[in-house]
Amino acid sequence: MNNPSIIVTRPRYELTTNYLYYWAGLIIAEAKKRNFEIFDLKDAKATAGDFAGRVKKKKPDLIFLNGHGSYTAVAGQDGDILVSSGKNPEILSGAIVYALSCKSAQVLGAKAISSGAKAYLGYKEDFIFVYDEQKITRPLQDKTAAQFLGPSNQLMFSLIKGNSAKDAYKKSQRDFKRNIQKLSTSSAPQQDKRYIPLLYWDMENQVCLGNQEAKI
Amino acid sequence: MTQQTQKTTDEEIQQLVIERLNIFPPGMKISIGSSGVFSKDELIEHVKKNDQIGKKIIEVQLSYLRSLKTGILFDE
Repeated sequence: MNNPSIIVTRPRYELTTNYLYYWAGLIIAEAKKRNFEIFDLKDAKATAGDFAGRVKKKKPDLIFLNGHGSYTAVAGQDGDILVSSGKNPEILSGAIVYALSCKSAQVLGAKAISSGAKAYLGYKEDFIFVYDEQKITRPLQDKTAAQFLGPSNQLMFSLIKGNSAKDAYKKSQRDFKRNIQKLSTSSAPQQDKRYIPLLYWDMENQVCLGNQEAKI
Repeated sequence: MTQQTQKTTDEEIQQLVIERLNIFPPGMKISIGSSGVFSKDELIEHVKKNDQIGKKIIEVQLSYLRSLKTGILFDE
């Protein structure tokens, strides 16, 4: 039996994508531990051509997209569109997809499922996160950003461990909720409570489309 | 009368959101996807202008306030 495979796109060209780049690195490290065949399309490799070539050749079990998005598309390096509902949704066919990207679950996600993707997890609206300006050179040490990106990563950790799409979604939702509950306690700094509506926004707009029982 | 009440309500909501943003911690930036990255002062300006970003922030805050009525965040 072949090792499971994963394609990760992680462009990096401004602060938001820089944060996603580093946090996606944790997923790659976990996939390595679990002997996944990994295709890390980072920086200038996160382009439409490289992405299409790798996906068509390798037919990955998992696709993890990081980057800016819209209702209909997810982008790679410098905004290069990797996949869009109008052009190439079938490229996601056969895979479980997680898009850490704004809005794409609404149109692209639905189209990907009707075009053969096993499951599409992502966000119906903007994915919002807060970061500490003092930590921009060390995104993994940013405890504020971790409130948002931790629950997001939980979803991928769960999929890599063999959980179903539905269970991965539930675990991510649980972690968003836990962070909200921790910030709601009287011992949490008053200023940090201001993140709660933003966390709830991400939690509320995260969805799992397609076959809920799909797993690698 | 109804229009006046609605106008006042919208202004009150806008003010509520600004007050909530005002106690946002200093030194933090908010990334809102491809719309960009904003400081709290920049977000407050958008809310005051009631532009697309401002409306989004109001929507985020109202969505959370509505959730409090349902108890969804604090059930086990």
